[in-house]
Amino acid sequence: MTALLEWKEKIAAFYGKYQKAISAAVRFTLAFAVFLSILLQISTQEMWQQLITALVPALFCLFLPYGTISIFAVGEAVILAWFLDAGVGIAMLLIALASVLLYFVFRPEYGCLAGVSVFLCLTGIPGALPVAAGLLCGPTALIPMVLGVLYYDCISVIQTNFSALSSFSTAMDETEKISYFLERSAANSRAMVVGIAYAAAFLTTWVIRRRPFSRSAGIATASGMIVYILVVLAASVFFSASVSTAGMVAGCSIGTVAAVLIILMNFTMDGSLTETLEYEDENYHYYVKAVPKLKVARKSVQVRRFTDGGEEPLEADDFPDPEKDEAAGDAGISPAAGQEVPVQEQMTAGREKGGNGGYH
Amino acid sequence: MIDQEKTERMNHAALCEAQAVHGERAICRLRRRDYMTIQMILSWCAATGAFLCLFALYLLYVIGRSATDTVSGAFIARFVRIGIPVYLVYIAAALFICHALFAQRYRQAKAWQRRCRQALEDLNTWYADNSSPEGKEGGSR
Repeated sequence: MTALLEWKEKIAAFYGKYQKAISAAVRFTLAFAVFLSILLQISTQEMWQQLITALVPALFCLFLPYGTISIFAVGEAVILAWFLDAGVGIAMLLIALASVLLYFVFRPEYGCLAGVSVFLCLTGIPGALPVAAGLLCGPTALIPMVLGVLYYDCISVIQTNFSALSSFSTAMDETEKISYFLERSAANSRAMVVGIAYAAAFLTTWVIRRRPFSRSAGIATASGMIVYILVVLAASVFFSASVSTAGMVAGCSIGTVAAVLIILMNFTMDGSLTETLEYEDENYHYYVKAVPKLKVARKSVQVRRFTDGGEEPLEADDFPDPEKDEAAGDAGISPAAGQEVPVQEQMTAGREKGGNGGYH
Repeated sequence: MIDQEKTERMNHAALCEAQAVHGERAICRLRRRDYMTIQMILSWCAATGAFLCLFALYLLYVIGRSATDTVSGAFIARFVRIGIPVYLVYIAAALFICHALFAQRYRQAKAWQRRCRQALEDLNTWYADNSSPEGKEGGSR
């Protein structure tokens, strides 16, 4: 454990030193992977053309926040669908608009999770995401994750019905293609299974992680993984969907490794979590709750001096510090001439009431 | 010589300020009522836009299935009968969730503001106590 903590410190120091470069590299890699995975599914371009098409927006993402990866990914999917057929493009555009507006209703953080979700679903390892996200993010992060599954649904429908939806196909007119596309998207049982499993695993992880008992993050990881596997199995039977066992095992393994890394980097001795502890001696059983100082406003100590001239309230830090007084006594420091000497001191302690304005 | 206590206090203040994750500084400039009103109006606009997009999709789906280019009067009557109640329920649910969400964000922003102010006040008091009579700050001892 000590070695792991040393490694954590080294990684944190390295990240602190090269934070901008590392963040840009991660953004670029993630964006490139997401864009390329979409292109590989529904693009008719040559491989080198796909690489260039993925590279250009990924380079833009170097200088933009993480959330833009999802927006670019959605835009890419809409453009590709438009090139396939104008009707399908319109349907994709409306779905994209609706999802972006729904996203804006709640304005959750971690918008890039939509792009990550699309990428993991398209590569067949969706199980890697929900537990890791449940450890790191708040409940609103479920919205971009589920929207990512929705895009995956649309992209996989376009991929599997490519020839029927193509503009070269004359079997259906534009409006019939839209209806066909929407019907297939609504009936895509695999995406439904993934969406339900995401919601269940994410919420389980998030709820347990917030409980104030020891090792809550580890228990949340295990519970989230178990719930994910059970829900995928149950939902695949219920919706008669085929689920790749290898993909599920690989996804859960990657997700577990990611969760362990997150626990190590974020939840081990970070000093920002409320910890509980129980132990006992011969006479007592002790329940200890350690709350970080950052979360609690410091109690103010007010000292009132009663002098001949009346009351004079003083600030908290005016209360004499015994250590300082001892040091002053040792150094032979005495009150300066003219300094008021307290006649009687009374200490009152209480929580300071927080004001509303002031700090900007 | 580096003053350990000063460094710790400054670190504490910086840590408090670094805990802002989603625009706490901007939120704290507004009164609660103003903030909630702005957010609810924006959310209502976005939720209505999303509903209209979904309705347009449904319209395209119905037109494609019926293989006609027009929408019949019966369809419009059915939309008025079913669509409007669905919209009202949907918008009520969305706004209810938004209200709870943004109220929590406002509370969190205010708590962050209190922590920051407390840390800065501590630092300020410490500077006042450790400054020399000439007014120079007591950075090192």
